[in-house]
Amino acid sequence: MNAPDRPTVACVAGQHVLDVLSEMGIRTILLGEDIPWDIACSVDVPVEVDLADWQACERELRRVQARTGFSADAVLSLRDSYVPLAGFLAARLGVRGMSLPAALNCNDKARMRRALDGARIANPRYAIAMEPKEAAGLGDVVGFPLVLKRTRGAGGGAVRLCPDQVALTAAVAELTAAGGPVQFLGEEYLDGPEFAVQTLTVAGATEILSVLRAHIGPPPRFAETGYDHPAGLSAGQEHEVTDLVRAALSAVGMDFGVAHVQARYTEEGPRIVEINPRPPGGVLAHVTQVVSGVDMVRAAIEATLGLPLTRRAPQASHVLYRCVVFGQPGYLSYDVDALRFFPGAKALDPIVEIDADPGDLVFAVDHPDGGVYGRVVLFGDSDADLAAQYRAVTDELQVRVAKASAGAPPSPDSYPALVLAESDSR
Amino acid sequence: MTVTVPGTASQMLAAGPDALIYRAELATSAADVNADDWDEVVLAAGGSIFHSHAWHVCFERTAPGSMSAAHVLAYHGDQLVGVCPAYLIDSCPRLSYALSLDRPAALDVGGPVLLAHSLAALDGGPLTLAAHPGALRALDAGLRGAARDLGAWCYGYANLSPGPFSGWLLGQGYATATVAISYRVPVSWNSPEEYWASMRSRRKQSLRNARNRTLSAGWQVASGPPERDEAIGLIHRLLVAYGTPTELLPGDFLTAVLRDLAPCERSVTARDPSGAARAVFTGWRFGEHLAMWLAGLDSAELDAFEPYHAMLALVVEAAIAERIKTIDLGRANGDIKRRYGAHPTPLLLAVRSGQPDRDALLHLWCRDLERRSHAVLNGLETASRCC
Repeated sequence: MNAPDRPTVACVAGQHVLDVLSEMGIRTILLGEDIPWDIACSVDVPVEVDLADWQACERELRRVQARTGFSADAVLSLRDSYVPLAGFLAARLGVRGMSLPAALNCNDKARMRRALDGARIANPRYAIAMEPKEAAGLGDVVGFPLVLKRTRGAGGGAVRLCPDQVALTAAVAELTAAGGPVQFLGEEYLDGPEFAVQTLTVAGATEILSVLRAHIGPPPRFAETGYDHPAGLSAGQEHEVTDLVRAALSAVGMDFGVAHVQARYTEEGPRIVEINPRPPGGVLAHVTQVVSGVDMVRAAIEATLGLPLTRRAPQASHVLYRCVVFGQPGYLSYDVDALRFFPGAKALDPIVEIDADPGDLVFAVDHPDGGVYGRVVLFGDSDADLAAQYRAVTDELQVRVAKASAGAPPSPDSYPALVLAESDSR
Repeated sequence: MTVTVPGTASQMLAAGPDALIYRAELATSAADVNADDWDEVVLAAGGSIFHSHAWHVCFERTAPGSMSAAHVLAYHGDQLVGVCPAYLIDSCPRLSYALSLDRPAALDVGGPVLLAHSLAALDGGPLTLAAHPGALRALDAGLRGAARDLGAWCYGYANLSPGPFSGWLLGQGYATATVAISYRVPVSWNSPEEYWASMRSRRKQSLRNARNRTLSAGWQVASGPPERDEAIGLIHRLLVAYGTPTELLPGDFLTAVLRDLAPCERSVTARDPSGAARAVFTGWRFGEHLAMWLAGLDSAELDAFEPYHAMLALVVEAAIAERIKTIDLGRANGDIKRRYGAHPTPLLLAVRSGQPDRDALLHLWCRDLERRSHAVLNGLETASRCC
């Protein structure tokens, strides 16, 4: 029997969420595969189980309940691939958690499109191919350019922009290479600025926590290269975007939990790109906490358990978030000593992180091995404030990339990182 | 007998305000409903033979297994504007087989299943007049209400095509799975010549060669059915060749279907040089839709389906001549059917019970059913039966 003042949550995988559960004094049963020793010690009951076997997970949870007397009040996961399992366990045990249909509808990109169709929410043109041979014909239905996605479980790594049939054929072969059955979604390319909308849903009612303008890198990776708050939308446009997000979450059946929704504002109006039933990655959850006063991880736990939401006053109205990315491959240089000026110790301190060392070979943002090499996140109360902070950071860091040539030392003919150009575009 | 199915307040609210202007009624036999009114809805909605009044009158009497009709009808005033043929199933060989695949150990179906309408058909679910799309949700509310009143363990839809309605069901919490693929040809050609001319020349030549091989060997491939017993024998021999129990399509059921739907029949028969019927495609025209439902083959005499290409070519040519808009070539053999212009259409199963713990198991079952179906499509697993 649980003490009335100490609820129990069964958590499927995750790490940060365990820290928050612990801070909240919540008893935690962790279900995971190969749980590291330090994490096993930090939770009340670690349960190692094959997370692909949902019935085994249910049996283990029931066994824990019988052995320890700890019965879960809720089941939760903030990892995309395990959200459906958490929904399944919550339904089977008759405890609180995100509804299983909502989790499944978000987890499968084709199901999400169909659910939006069912609610008469405008989708881009799309078609579903149930096997690779059929995928080669997606262009006939959708037209070019199209965006090819695996429908399940691969995130942005399994998305390719295909300007023509040759590119589509190559992309199908590439995304099929991993083996196993594949299903593809071909979508009309949505041209327009992208927005990340963070939400909290309680009993089917959705609150918008933040709307951020997203900067997206070039194909084929479409890496997220930065975010701005405010998002630069007019009040009318922001209403359109947030109304669409609320309707989309309702269409997929979202009842309890947080979500990170990507939308694009096209000439025909806003369109949903993806619905992720979890907080955003990177430091976007922190950004949302600063501008909304709501910690999304804590809010997800509170919503799931039916606890009152902890809400603090927003700490800043403006955020500039830029990823460290490069326009060309080369050898990285920057002033390492300058990083000590940006310890990021307090909530509104600038966050400056570079994930590569001086001298490391780095690749362009559109290179398959490239991507994001760090981030600069600044908080303030005006654009001018942010611009001044940004100049100070870039002046201190002196990030440069020297052109790479085989076997030769870095050339003095270097050029700045793309991060500077991103700042100018604001 | 028909009874009004009001649905609970929450069901009607979930169905949306449009649903409130329609009245859902339950009919325990299609024979209780005027055939012309019923078929008018089906024809206007583009339905196939599997939604027709004649099919259901026949199915009610002879369908394999044990079931009783529980059709949900939507009325706007006195006008019938939507039909959702459904059956309260105590036992059905196809449903039992589907449940034997990947069923979670805890999933114990402890009562009848209300299904609209059968895994045997190539189409299912509700149809409404175009001017009354809101009636779809009223029909769903009616199905839920009927499931409650009839004590169904779960309820739902079989062989739905993907579209806004099946998408809406996803948001309503139905467990769904693609359980089969049907191959459909949208007919856009004015003549058989135009059809062949629209094909890449290499493919056209290859298909013509395959057809000519059969015809030049003295085979005759023609529109029209063989004798009823012959047709049933061929269908059963093909089932047996694929390890599929004939109880799925018992002789009395096939006899009744072939007899009662004869006015709509568009079968194609292949006869060997001695004149013996060796293969058959059995199908029916309804409105602008042709459904080639069953294939039969004298597998004792033939190692392979030798006349297959010649028969497919004739089906398409005859459909073009008859101004058919869609040919449903049925399940399996997708690689060959695609060459004749067919596109794969998923057939969806959507089920729910309204009880979260039970629904969770239905979702798990559907997830695994779909994985199996998907693996077969990707060539990573083989189907153990032909249907």
